[in-house]
Amino acid sequence: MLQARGLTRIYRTDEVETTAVRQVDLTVEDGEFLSVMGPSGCGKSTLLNLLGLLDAPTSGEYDFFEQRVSGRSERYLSRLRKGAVGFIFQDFNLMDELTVAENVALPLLYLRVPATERRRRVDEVLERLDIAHRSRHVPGQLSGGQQQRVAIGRAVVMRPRLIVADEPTGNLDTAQGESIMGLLNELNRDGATVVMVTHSADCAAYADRIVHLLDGEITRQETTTSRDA
Amino acid sequence: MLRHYVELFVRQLGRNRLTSIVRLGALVVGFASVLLIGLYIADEASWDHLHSHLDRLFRVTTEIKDADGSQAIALTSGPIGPAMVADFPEVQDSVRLRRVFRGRAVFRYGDKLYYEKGLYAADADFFRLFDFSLESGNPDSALKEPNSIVLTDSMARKYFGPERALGKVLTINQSHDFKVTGVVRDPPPESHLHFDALASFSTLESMPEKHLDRWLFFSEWTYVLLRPDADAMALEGKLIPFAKNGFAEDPSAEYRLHLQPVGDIHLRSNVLYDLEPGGSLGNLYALSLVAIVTLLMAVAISTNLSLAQAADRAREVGIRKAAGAGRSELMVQFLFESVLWSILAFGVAVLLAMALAPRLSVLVGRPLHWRVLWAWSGSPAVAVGVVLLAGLLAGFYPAFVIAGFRPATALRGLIMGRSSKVVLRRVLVALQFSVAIALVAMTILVRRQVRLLETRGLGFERTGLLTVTLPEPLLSRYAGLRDALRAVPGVQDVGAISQAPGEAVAQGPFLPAGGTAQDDRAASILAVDDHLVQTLGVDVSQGRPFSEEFPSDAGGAFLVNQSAAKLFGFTRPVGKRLTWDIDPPRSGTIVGVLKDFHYRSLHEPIGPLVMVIEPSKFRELLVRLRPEEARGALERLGATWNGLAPDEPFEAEFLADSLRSLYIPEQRIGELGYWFTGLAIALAALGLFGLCGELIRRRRREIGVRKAFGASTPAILRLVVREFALLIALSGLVGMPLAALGARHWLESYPYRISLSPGPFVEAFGLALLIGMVTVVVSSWETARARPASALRYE
Repeated sequence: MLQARGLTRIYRTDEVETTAVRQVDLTVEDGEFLSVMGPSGCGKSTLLNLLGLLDAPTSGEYDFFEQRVSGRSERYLSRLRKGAVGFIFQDFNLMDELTVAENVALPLLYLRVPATERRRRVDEVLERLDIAHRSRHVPGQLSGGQQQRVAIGRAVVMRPRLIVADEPTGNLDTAQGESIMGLLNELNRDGATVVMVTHSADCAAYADRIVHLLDGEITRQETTTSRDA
Repeated sequence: MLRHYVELFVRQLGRNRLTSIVRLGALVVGFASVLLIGLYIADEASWDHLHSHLDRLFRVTTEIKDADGSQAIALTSGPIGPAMVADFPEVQDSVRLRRVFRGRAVFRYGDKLYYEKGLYAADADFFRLFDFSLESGNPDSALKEPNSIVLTDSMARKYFGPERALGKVLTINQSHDFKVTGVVRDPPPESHLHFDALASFSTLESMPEKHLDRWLFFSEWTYVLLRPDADAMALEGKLIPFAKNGFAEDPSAEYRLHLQPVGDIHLRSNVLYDLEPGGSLGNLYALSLVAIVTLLMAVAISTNLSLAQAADRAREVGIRKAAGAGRSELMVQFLFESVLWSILAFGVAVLLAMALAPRLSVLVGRPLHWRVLWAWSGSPAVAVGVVLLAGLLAGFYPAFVIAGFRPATALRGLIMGRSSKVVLRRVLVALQFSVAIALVAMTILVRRQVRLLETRGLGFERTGLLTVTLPEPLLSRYAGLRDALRAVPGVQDVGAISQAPGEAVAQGPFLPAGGTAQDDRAASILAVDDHLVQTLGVDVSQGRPFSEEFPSDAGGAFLVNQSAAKLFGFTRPVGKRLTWDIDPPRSGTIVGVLKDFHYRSLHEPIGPLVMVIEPSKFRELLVRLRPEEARGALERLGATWNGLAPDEPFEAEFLADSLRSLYIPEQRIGELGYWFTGLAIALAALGLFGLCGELIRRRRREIGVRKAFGASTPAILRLVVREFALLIALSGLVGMPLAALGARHWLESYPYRISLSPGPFVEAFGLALLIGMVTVVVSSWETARARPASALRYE
């Protein structure tokens, strides 16, 4: 499980201090699908980065699957992140110079997975995501939906414990968005913990629980009644 | 993983084409400079390496300490070589080399008649010590018998054409027949010893006045080959009593013999009477520094561009860190990329250097061979080391910075140019411009110094003056020859001299009247006739020049220059007695004082000079041509000469040309300076181009907003230019003092030098500023004139 207590993140420059996340207490159970909603600038993405170990809190405690990570160095976080967290971004964040297969294989490179095994797992993921026929293409040759599928493939190829998705359907049309949400649902059903940030109530409905954020603080939480694929 | 990095590198090459070209261009220029300078240095350091026994081969030099001070000369005397072989078991062999026929003789075969300068007499063991390749003849016997001669390949073809030279007879100076006993390959340029022909040393034994057995007659260059187990330093210690014993005849001076490694002669010889002028170790060090600085400039540009692109790569860093990469893995990636840049640039640089090497060969006056560089550097290991080091140096700081981006910040695009990194990049560009300004200023100063050397007043009029070789056989009738030449239309006057201005002049001991041996003073001595002073056009400040109206001038008179008068302590020298303290001594009266004039190269200050009438020492005639009738005079002179001396070739050269050739090393430095100044400016401009381009790209939005609110293209350009003008101004503050320091240090070695005025520095700064501003305008032009909408849409 993921457990945050009094989690706070303050951004400081020479003139300005901004509290993006303020005293957040949050628990995410293993295998849970959590959605975080709120208006622009409320701190959703910052919270997501903290939960996904992409950033470190200014204060507060955070246990990542029973490991205390608050106060740790970036070096420690990166070691923990490797293989454990899969990221899906709103603007896909694929590497333009790499092919679809190479983008998906990227985490496996850093896990030192041998080339044969790497190829096998990438092929498996691409088949599952129905983009195997585009494996040699570069992102610039794909549609938005296809690019997001590739991003999902990269996020899941190393079978992470946690999938963190920041507005995964933000740059997609309705049909593509539904397809992506279906995939996330499937991955969650397969056992991955999913934390997703979204503006869309329709997308949020896929989650087990919705947390509402305003000005960096959790204002309310709600469990959803049902989740349809 | 490395394969992944290589593939990524190749794909990224095409993405930012302009930045890639600038980066590659800078590194290529840096590496090519290192390769070309390395080629030259390797060549200079390889002199005499053709001799397989080089580590055991030494030249014996003589150090003479007397009341006038200490002097080291490359010459020894005849007995020394054989005595060393006899007395010291460490010495395996010795060879003596001696210039014969005063270094210039007439060679004749059939109707072929030429002056040759490179004739030496050499001991029979010459080819045992030196590995000059004998193409025909027996190396053990070719120089054994008297009147034997070994010719170089060029000489053999000059006289005998395609015919076999071996066995043919050459006549030298009309009276000496030599049988060709060998043909040797022309000595390579990279040798301290160059010759056209070697006569057997045994020939000298039959010639009068050769003083082969006199310890105090210094006319040989002596070489010794030590045994493999010999200790050269210990042997040199043993030479102290050996020399003391041998030179006991002259108790007024202390003589010491030294062993000079032959491999050191070209770059480290600091003795008088070397066979030829050597190279300069100082120049090599300076060139090495230029190579290192050029490469560092290129590395700085590469670093600068990496830092400028840091923000662009932030997203990639964020993605990779999100995918599991650690900081060290990313550092390895970026360092590896930097090394790949280095490798790629080196490959292109090799091609560029090979294309430019022939031009460099022309500049230095001899072919430069790449095999010398590879042999000298030992192996490609050094090249690999330099390439790796350059790559790591260029990539370390950017890798450290870029790999340190926090993933969340990087993915949000919040990596901006932090002020410290921007400052560093500007400092790097400013340093590059400082170096460029310093080099431009130095080059201007070198050119001015060369112009000074070529045009400075010498105390006589150099234009319209010919030097004509006077061979030994014509000495007895030189007066008739001189008068005949004087009568040629267009000739104003003719005089005879032992050494023309600019040539090395002998020194002699002189004793003012009433002095003792302790009062001996050394002065240069020139043998002249009674027309020389007028022909040369030197001013007489007191008394008169030599004159045929005073027959006692021949043998009983001296002329001195002002420096000599001062040396001898004479305020009114005319009428004073002076003794030329030779054996036998020769006394005379000073009849005139000449205003100081430059009888030597401007590399040396004017020293004390004594002139004496001594026809046996005449070697040249100086011919003053009338300016208005000079055309055709040369042909008429040649015709007159050939009519009077058909067996002696007419060899004439304008004195102005031979004086100009004294300053070839400086002319070469000036030309090299142009090359490297051009390089430095190109690198600095490249660096500025890259920096400016990146910074302008980053300010597109700002520029778009400014234009939307009414700013014109010139106004935008002025904004950018102002920013970088300050940068270049600051670089001038560093570059100009650097140049002044360097220039002062270099000029110190010249007794006659330009004064350091602000002019060259201001010119250098102005040029750098102009180039810098043009670079800034060119790199900013597209962005400055773009429509605001495109800039704003881009964001």
